[in-house]
Amino acid sequence: MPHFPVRGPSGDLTTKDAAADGAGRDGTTGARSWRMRLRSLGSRLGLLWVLIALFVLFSIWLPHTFLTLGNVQTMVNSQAVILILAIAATMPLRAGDFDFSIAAVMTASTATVIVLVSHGQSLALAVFLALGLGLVVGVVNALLIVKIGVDSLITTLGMLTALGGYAYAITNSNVIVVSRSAVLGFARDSFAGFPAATWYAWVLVVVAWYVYEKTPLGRYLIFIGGNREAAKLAGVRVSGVRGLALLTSALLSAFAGIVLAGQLGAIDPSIGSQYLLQPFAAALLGATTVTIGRPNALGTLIALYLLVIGVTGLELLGASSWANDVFNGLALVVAVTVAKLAAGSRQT
Amino acid sequence: MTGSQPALQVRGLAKRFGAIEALRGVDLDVAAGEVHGLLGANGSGKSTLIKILAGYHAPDAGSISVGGSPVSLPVTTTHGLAIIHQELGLVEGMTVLENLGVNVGYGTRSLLPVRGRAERRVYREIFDSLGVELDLDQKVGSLTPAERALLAVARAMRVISGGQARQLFVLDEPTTYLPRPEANRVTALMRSVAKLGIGVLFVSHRLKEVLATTDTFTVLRDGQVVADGVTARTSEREIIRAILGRDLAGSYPDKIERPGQQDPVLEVQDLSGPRVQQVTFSGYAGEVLGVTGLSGMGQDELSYIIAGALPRSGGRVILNGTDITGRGPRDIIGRGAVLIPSDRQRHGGWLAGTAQENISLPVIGDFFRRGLLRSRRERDHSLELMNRFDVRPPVPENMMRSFSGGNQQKIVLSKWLQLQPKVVLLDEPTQGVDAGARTQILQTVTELARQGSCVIVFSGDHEQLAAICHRVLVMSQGSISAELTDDQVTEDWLLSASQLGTSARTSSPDP
Repeated sequence: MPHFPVRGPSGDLTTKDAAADGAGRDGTTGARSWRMRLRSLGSRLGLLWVLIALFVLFSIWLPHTFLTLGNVQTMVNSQAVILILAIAATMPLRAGDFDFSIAAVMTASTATVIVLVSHGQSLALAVFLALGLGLVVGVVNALLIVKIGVDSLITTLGMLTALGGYAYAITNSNVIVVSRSAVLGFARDSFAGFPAATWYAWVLVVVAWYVYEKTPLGRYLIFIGGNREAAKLAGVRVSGVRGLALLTSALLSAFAGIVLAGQLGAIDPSIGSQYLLQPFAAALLGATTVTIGRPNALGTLIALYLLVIGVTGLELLGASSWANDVFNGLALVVAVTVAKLAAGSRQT
Repeated sequence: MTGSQPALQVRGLAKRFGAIEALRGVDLDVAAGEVHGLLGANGSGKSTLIKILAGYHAPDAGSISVGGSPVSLPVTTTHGLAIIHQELGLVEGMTVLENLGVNVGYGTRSLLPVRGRAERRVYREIFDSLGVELDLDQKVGSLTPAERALLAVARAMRVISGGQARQLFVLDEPTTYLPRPEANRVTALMRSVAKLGIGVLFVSHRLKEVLATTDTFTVLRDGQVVADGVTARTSEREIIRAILGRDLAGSYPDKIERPGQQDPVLEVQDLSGPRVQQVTFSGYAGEVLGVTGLSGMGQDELSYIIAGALPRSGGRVILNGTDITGRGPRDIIGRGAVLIPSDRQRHGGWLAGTAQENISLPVIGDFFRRGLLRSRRERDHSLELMNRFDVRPPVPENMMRSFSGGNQQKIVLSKWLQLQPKVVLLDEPTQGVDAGARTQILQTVTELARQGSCVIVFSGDHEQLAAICHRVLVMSQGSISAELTDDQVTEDWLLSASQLGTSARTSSPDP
């Protein structure tokens, strides 16, 4: 056998020394790291402090309109569907893909449910077909983006437009309203003061948090988003995980559409545009907090409520409905700018 | 038609990078109408010289004149010389004609119409003068590499016929990626260019090509001119001696049989890819096998093809008796072979992730117990590995980016070696790594082989290969041109085998 120029004994010694050294250092840092962890938590939750400050500000300013149970409930409940969409958006975002089709999948799903129910079909069938629609869109997105390698932004933008057309087609461009009893219970049954829709969204946040932070899948997603090539070389099923993320976002969007059908009991085919930007504003702004630089569940929740507090406060102060668009649009730009600056400062 | 007027005259050119003197007083003359070869090993100063000519670096001292008129330094674009780099700067999706016109504004002003017919006539003339036949409407993407090189030369010629007098062509390794007959078309073109009275400076690692093409030559070593003269009056041996700085003793000794019969862990049979052609070799347990060659000879691609990370066009890979041909990285890793890439930023790791996240990626499933990622255990595991590989500082939460190059590489190594692979493919394991970390990494590598792994190091660092390998395969133009074993594995042999490339093979009795 060949012989190798190994400096064995000295090499072993350094190894042991380093291990003992490291253990000692680790032991002494135990207490310090606890305090450091608390401090880093403070900075990581920057967005939460902004949210609280904004809430307190508007509460003092508008004690009779803003700081009322009714207003708080309205703010939270009005965001249920958007929160579901925002969580849907985070999954492909984590893996580095944009899914802009979510708002249109939602509209198409709502339209499917309402149109079928208005034609006397059972709610179960309608829900089943709406989810089926989401599945099909997810599969098509995944095939185009992952298998063929088309740019995700362009693919899903095209999908967004096409599905918007589908919603107009099956509704004949009309607003369709169904009788209250047909679909309403599904999203409006309330529990502990909040309607079911809000609970769905919150449960989804917890599930997404669990998947992102506590499972290997969550780690694979963020690693793929960080360095796809390195993940592939490390044996991660990159295509499978990206495809799964796109499939999940489409399915969750279809689910959001079903919830919206339940909330409204009606479909206005032009509704999609109102849901287009806000989920991304929340998901991207959310990526600047909790786990900085990474789209995440809790950050998305905080960001979304921050946005709704800002918009509601402005509206109660007399700004008209354009405040919504301006605030959300600016928040999106601010979010990506902050993320870019944070990434830049970390690089140096 | 060797003109007396110099196309290029370089005097006393010097350039220092920190402690390294890349060029120390280099003189170089290229006469109009001749092809001049510039030779030298990696690090001899060749590329620094070219970069100064291209205006990329400013020299510390010295002068350059082109066509008899001095050039103010640093060199800027239009001094009468055209440089054609290895990367030719062509757009694949555009046609030959569209690519040709881009550096002369398509012969018109920005917002005026392009006169297609006039343009075509200009290039037909250039093609005729050079003896080039290319379809002007063909997409560049469908051209062979050699045709692309011809196109790049023809494009530079337009500037001459356009009246801006160009005196000198510099071709920087234009033939590196080309198989021999293709390369011959490019060297023939150089002769045609010289016939038009233009000086040509030909930079190449391929000694045979330089000998066959050039009129005169210059050899650089350690930033100095160590030989120059008329090519026809100089022997190949003299030039090799100048390049290496030592004599080459005799021919290759007989191959030594490997001690001890054992079954190979890795068998590569006729493996081919975009740049790799029918490579066959075996790797054995407990050996450190080197694979080397000049840049672009396919050795870097070979490791990725074996690891399933790049597509192959033919051949088989057998790992531990199992055919793993066509399988992806995930499967191949599962069967005990890992690729440790050299490019930490692009392939090795995720710089915005933490050390812990990078280390635990391949084994993250092990920390998923009863529905939760056990982050404490994951951290302990990462910390233990960081200590074992002497990563400093040993803090798993630190971002990958915050570590030095050497420590990043140790993190990448620990990520892979925790899998206790039977076959380790190491791509330039010490690239961009400081001296201290380099020693540690090489110790780890040899220790790995001692423990029974088959370690294959893909590297252009001959000194390093000579120190740790006991068998080295030398690649040239995508295939293995030489195999050096045991006492043949020296820096000198590796250097000359890489430099000679094909000539090592042709010097053996071959019809």
